[in-house]
Amino acid sequence: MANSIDHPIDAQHVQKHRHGHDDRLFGERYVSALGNDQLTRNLTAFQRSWRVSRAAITEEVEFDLLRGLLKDAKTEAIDNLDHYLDLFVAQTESGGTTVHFASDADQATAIILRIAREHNVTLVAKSKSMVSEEIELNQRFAERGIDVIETDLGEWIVQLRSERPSHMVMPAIHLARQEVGDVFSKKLGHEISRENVTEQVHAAREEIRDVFFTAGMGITGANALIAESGTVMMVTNEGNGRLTSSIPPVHVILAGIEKLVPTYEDAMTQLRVLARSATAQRITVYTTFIHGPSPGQEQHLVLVDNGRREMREMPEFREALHCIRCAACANVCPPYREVGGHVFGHIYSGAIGLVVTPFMHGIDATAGPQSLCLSCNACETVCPVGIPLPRQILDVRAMVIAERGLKRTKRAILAAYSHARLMNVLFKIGTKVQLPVTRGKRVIRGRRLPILEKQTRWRSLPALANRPLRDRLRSGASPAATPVIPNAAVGLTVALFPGCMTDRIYPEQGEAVATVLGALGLQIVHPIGMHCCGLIPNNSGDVSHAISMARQTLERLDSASIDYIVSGSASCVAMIRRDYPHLFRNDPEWLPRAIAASEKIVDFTSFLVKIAQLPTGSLTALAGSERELTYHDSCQGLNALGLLSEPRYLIEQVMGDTMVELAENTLCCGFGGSFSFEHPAVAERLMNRKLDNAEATGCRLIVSDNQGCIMHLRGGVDALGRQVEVRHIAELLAERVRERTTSR
Amino acid sequence: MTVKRCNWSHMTKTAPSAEDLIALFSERLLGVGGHGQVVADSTSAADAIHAIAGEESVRTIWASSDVTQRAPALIAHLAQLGFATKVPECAVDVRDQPLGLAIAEGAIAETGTAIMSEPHVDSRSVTLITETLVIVCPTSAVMPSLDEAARMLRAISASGASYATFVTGPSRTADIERQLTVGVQGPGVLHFILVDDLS
Repeated sequence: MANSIDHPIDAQHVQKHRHGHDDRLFGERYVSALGNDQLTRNLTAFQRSWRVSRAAITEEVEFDLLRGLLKDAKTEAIDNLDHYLDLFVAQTESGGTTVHFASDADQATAIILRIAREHNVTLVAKSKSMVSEEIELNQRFAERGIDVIETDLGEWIVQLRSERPSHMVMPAIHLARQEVGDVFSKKLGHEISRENVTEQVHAAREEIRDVFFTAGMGITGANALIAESGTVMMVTNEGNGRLTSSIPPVHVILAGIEKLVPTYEDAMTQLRVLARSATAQRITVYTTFIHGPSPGQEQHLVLVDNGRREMREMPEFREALHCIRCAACANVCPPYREVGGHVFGHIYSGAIGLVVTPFMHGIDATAGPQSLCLSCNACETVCPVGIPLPRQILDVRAMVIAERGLKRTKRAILAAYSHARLMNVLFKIGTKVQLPVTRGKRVIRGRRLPILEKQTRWRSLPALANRPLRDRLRSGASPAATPVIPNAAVGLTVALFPGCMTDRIYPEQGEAVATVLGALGLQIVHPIGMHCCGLIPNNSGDVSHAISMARQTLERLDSASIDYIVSGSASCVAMIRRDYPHLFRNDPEWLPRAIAASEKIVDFTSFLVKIAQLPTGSLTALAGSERELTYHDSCQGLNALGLLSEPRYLIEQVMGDTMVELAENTLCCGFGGSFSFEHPAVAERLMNRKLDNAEATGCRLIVSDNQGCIMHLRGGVDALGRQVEVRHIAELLAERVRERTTSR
Repeated sequence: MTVKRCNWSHMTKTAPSAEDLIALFSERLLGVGGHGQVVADSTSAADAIHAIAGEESVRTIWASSDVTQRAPALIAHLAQLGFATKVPECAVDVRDQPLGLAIAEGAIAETGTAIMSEPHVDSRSVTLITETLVIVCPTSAVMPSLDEAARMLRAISASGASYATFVTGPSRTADIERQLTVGVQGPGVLHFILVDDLS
């Protein structure tokens, strides 16, 4: 089972300590970013406007079609990498370009340094190149007495501040205009406005202009390498890329080997999605196609591996080489909004940064930053080449855990949690032990948990239910009852998979699901001894416990006579549908069972809308009272399972309630499982934003489909005394069903 | 000029009319801050450039060697209007000069883009660093989409070493607090003149 990430030895594929940063440094960066209000303000404004602009600019094209076309083109290029590299090199050399291959950052630097020395270069003009940042070219050249001046405005600003870009496309997104004015005044030796951006831009233009005309070398990046003709495609908005590649007598192009696309048509597809995804433009101002040096100029192309072939050899990560560096994944990342790109430690930030950084800078470099991912799946929904980023980040996390192990407490908790019988006993004890703390209430207030002060000061935790769902529903098959609601699922056999949170914390939600399903005339199976689907260890990078718990679940759910497995937990459905086949990808014995379960599992709202096809008005209030509510789309529901119309149909059409849309409905509430315990400050901010948005609707009722979100939001409501109620959609539907059964 | 909303993916299937293409091109160019107009011939093009130069109060136009060779009538009309047309010998000649003139190989309606083929740096410098850039292009060279542009790029690179650029509006940045500012390194003003009979 070569190259599988669930075996610790495979983590050795990734080189360690290349230019790694340790956890302590990550912690320092993280704390510093949390204290930077300007950063969060800038990124919040940016993410909000980017969402709106991107939606408008992608609507005019068939974006999913384009995404598929580009994915196909990149798959073709990466799967046949050497073929297309050979073709590209032959063609580009025919145009007069000298091609160099660099296996790592040291080699790439040495090659460019040699060229620079051959031409007595002391000043280099550079336009945007992610690879140059990746190999830390500026620092390496400065150590050898050669100045590299950034000519992209944002890059130049951060260079003047001795910083690195905090965003792949917008390097200075973290800064305020006053900070830019200050650094310009200092650099230029005269006062530059702290408020007038136009003045700042024109001052930069004058200063950078001289660099183009005095530099002995220009270094540019590449957005695509078009194999059929040996052409380099480069996109910019400012025009500095064209100047850098035109005016200095020596032009060096620095590109990763994964930038290949087979044809010009593929390059056009990339253009159609790149600017839309990066800056919500239709196309950037300048798209340059360079094939060979201009007369009188010398041109070199340095093709860099630096971990890319290692990535290609691991099937879990090969698709990450399809990335076109648009940064869309960062533009929707909730933790990125709160802490920015510098926290990631290296140049590639956002979701793709968490995936590629270990291959370029070592596994230690990603150990801290990977914990920032709360598995909300937002990145995958906007990735223009469909990279399975959330899954790849979990695979990186698994590598980190395989290499470094879990923290002792977490390891002990997950080990215990994987034993269903042990947990049954512990939960029973827990319901008794918690009494002095809960005093009979359904929540545990933070002030009663001083050891978890950071985690609970702003969010109460739920108490364990006195009677879990397993004690409330009779195990085994229940015969079908006469349907209360006309529907298309009558006669089907469904297994109810409640999920462990429903079972132990919110059994009334499980009962509500059972009540609604029972009203449809189904035969319902309540599998005996259901525990956790394995989501908790899986999201923690603990693959072995995730597999053992998934096996337990599969054994209990395994029944050929079941038509569907229904769950009221969107997270559990996402785990079984999306993660099970991946967990068992190298296990021929269990893979068929995992696939079968993944095909049968369906979330509660989809079942009611698509399978049962509940008619409009079938569960309206008998009393006729109007109800107004807002809906919180869980990340697993919306981003992972694509649920959008289903809950809205149930609320508005089936129940006849008035729904007010929540602003920023795609933004995570901040729960993220153990994320909210490991990064409570970010989790608190996200939760407050969600509750603020909910309150802004004027509704006093938030409805959702996921127990994790409900627990998190209810905890915040309780701790902060907010006047809003959070309920599961099944509870609302079940009330209407009960109205009908009692009125008969 | 009537603005008509078209979708490139549909356009390519339905063989749009020339009017549709020009309307879409103009709409898209306007959307990115460029100025577009359609004129009948080189005399009218020269008059249009005269008007633009009037705004800038300049009498010298830096022109690419391509436009002087392929549109000699336009250059002659400009001379009649009192403009000195100069061709740069090196990039520094045009550094921050107020007005540049170049010719496009084609235009892309889908994006409002001019396709430039500029293998020589001296000629290219006109589009690199003048402050106001006028690009002329035969009306017949407007193509529907990037798909047709791919074929043109293939032909350009087949001729040997080449340097082609899609120019879509004036140079811009939003790197400081996302505030859109034009004229960063490239021209800050872009005029595109489609000429039915360019000579």
